[in-house]
Amino acid sequence: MPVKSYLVYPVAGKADELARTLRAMPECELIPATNHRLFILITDTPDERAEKALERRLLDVPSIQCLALVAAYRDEEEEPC
Amino acid sequence: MLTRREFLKRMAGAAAVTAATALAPDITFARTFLAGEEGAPAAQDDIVWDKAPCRFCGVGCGLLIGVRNGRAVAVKGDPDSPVNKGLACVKGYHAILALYGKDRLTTAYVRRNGKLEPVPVQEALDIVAQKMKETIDQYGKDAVAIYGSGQWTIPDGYVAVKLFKGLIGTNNVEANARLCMASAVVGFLTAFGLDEPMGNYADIDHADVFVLWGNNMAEMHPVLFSRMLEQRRLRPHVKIVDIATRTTRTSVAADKAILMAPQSDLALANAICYEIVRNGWVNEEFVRKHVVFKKGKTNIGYGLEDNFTFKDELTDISFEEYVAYLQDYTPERVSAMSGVPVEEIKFLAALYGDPNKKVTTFWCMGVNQHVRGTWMNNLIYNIHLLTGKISEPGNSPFSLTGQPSACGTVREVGTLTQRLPGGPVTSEKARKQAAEIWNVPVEQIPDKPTYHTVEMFRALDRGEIRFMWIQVTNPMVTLPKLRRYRNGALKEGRFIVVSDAYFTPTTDVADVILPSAMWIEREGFFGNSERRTQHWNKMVEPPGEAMSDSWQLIEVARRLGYEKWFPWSEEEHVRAIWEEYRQFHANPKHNMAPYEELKRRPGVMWPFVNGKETLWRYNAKYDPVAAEKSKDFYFYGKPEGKAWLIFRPYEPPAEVPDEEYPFWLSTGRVLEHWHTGSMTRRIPVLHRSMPHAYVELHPDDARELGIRHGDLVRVVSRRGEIVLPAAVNFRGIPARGMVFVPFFDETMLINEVTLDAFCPLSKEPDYKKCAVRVERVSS
Amino acid sequence: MSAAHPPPQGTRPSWLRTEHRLISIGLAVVLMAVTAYVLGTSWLAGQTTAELEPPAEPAEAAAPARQYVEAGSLYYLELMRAYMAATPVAGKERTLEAYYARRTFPGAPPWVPHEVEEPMSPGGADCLQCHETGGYVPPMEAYAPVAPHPELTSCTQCHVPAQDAELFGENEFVPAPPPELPEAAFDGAPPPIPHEIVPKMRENCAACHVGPAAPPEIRVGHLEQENCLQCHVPARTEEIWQREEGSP
Repeated sequence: MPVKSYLVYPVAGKADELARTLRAMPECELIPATNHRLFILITDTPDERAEKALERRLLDVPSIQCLALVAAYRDEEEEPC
Repeated sequence: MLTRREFLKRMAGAAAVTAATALAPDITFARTFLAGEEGAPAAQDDIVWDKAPCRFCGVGCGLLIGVRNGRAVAVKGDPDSPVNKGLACVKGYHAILALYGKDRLTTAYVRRNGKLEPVPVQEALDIVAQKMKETIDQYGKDAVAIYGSGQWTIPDGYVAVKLFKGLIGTNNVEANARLCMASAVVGFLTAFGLDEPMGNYADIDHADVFVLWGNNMAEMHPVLFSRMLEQRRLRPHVKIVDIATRTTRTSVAADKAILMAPQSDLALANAICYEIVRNGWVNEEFVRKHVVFKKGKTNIGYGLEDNFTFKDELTDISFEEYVAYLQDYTPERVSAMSGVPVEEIKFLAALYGDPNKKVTTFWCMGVNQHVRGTWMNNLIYNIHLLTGKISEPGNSPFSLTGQPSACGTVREVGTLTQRLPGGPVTSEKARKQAAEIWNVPVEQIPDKPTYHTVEMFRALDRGEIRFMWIQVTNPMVTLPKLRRYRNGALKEGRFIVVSDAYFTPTTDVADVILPSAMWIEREGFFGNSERRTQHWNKMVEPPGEAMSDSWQLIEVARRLGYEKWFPWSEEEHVRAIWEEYRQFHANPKHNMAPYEELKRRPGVMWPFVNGKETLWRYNAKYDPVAAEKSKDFYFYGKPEGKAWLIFRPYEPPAEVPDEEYPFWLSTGRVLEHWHTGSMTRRIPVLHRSMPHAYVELHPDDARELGIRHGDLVRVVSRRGEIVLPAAVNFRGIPARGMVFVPFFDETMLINEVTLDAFCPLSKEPDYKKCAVRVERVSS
Repeated sequence: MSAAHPPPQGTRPSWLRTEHRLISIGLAVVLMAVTAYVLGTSWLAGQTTAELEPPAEPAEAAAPARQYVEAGSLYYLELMRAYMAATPVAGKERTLEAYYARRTFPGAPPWVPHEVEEPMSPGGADCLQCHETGGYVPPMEAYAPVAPHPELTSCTQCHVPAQDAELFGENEFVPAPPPELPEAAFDGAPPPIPHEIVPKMRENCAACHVGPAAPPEIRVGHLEQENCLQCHVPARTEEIWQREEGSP
């Protein structure tokens, strides 16, 4: 049950599109910065496979300039993987 | 209480904030992750709004859908939409809840040994393609059929037509709009040669008088109804007249409500014309320049027998002959037939006849679901043509649509057995155009219509059709005389595929169930009653393996070897389909707006000519095609440029009450529920307001039968019977001798009782008239 | 068979009738004007037996002038002033929690938490007799909330009664949380508006924020100005303004 957080930079002029795309993705929570064009993305997936699939989908999002992984946790207690 | 996972997410979030602060020391975020802040509600501004037309009725309200964290969380009316200007109705405001029923289908099912078993969607699609191929090999192309819907998006319907008519080569394509709009279509085609209204909803802002003919707008088209009430509030001389067989919320709000006997509308309309002629209210100049008079066949039957065929023949008559035919319809005689007082008939005629009043007539299922539905559509046009009240702001015969894309998909794309996107299948020109755009040999496109909806299900029963794919509709609730068609579908050797979002009585007869992505879970287009095409983006992910109906069809088409004709990627296919489909209508009589235009605006009306919408067709002031030919009006759908006023007489319905079955039965909808309720009944607020069906009786009839509000009542016809609670002085009051039952409730199927008689021209069944017996069930 | 007496018509509550309602003192005069307005305007004239010629409409003039200042207007300023003075004398207060509990999501049309007397009525005067001006309704032990848009008379189009029925199926919809109550910039400063002001639908601030039916958490005790937006501004963005980079 991985939980990860990223910093996400949008392609110039595509911040709104990026927000729309990521908010439409399940397992994603997006928190915009209020004074910079920067987002925090927190992902919460049921297992490693889903996590990998989500990561691939994120890498395909055209409005993302840069996706920087900050923290990753694995929830061992609920479901050892 | 913070869960462990929530705690982990906060840790991850806090780490990200720290990282961000290292990059930009002054950065702040819309949410903090510090301890002690749990439960602090998030700000509303993390909701992202995007436009979509409403999923439900044919009004086509613009909505704004709020999405947050991948889920739709809120709805508001789109103030920029010229349809609804920011207002919606209770179904629209709660439409997003239809996505989140707990029993939403997220995987495919295949029936094995009589039991439905979950299987991966790709495997189910293999089975569907395999079965289709086998059926075609064994029984021929015309043994496979697709039955879709006016809730198909335009791309869904387009892919279905291309696959079945263009590639497989069968005209076995039908849609449930046959059950609601076919009479309107044939009405338009016979009178004007082109489908769909000449006016638009802005007629409401100009009309002085509204005549509502056989439609309960307060419940079925609530936003247009409110627009009408708003006009009456702002311009107090505006009047609303309701003509119906049942007193409804619409009648209560109207300035005048006229109750008529079932089927007598044909006579009533002719009596209005009689009075218009008698009083010299005919707009002679308009009639001379723009109208020709015709008559058609009479004694045309009811389609009750299998393989029924009928072909109308229209012949020219003179105005004098027309007037001679009208002599049977004096107000006195018609009053005796219809129960409408003579003075009310004269009053109606005077409203239409007054040259200083702009009159808009709205009608819907009361006129269309009628064994003479096409005739009734013609008769309403006759009134407007005689008085010249047509094709200009406020003067408008306006056929309302039931479904969100009955116009956009079924009528414009042509998902009916006799249609192609560019015209009827019988037209060589239309077939050649399709062959060219689709890049298939023209001989591959069959030139004869096969089965209309009722006959298609009869053919399934008889065994001529062996494979049927049903998408976005629930025929095992909506077909008339249901038992025959349900038993037919269940027969040995029939293979039924159903694409839906929930289990329904139709999935109960399915051999394969495919889970469908709904509405804002995929990109799409709808086309509403006023020729407005509306685009929406995919906003949320569909659940599980659910897939859009068009993509299901494309997947199967590819398995059948038609990859070359469906080469698009999943991301690009909606746009690609739109641009391909648009070629069919690339002429100033029907031009559709380009993709970008539709993506940007809350709907665009066609014909879209030189970057402008055509607001009133056939009127030279607004329509560039008419302006080329005339200074005022030009009905370019007909070769002579004139509209056809077709005399249609009164003929009795297929079944009338008698001693054994003394009551009329009419069926219909209620405000809260969309069609068969498979979506709206899963929305708590709508279900709580209208939890089950009922049989509505006139209080005097109820008293005579000893029935009180809430008593269980048996409704019996020659076809079947159901038991349901009585409603007295509830949502409406039927005329004496008539009962009304809504059809949304799958546990009280009124269509077990109804009759499969239909209009011989449009093949649309009459759900408003059959004979029943009503008896109290002793407890 | 025929019954000698008409059967009792259901169990519709009689408390909705006007004579059972207590109206706050000081309100009666205004209320009469408003009622006349309602009777005059629309649908009552349209009962099935009605003549088409409308009754003369003297009531139109008696309609309280609508104080319309773009958004944030007050329809019945005088009425609301009087109403504000009438402190809740009895009954349960409507909490903010209850306010949101009657909506599927913040901003959705609330459902009707009581039975309706005339199911065949589209709404109009039947609803407005209580909800146009508010007032205490003893059987509900509460004050009727005021409709923010009384000119939209097809009430049932959006507001449907919710009967206590078992669900047809569970629904997993989760609404967004309601907006947080805003903080003023400093003590005594007018707080900003944390929600959207939907044109035509929710422009009348007083409907939710003034009078005894207003939830105490959001009730205001002042109506000095006719235009609320003069002091309270909508908080439309969390972002702070910055000069464009690169400007000279």
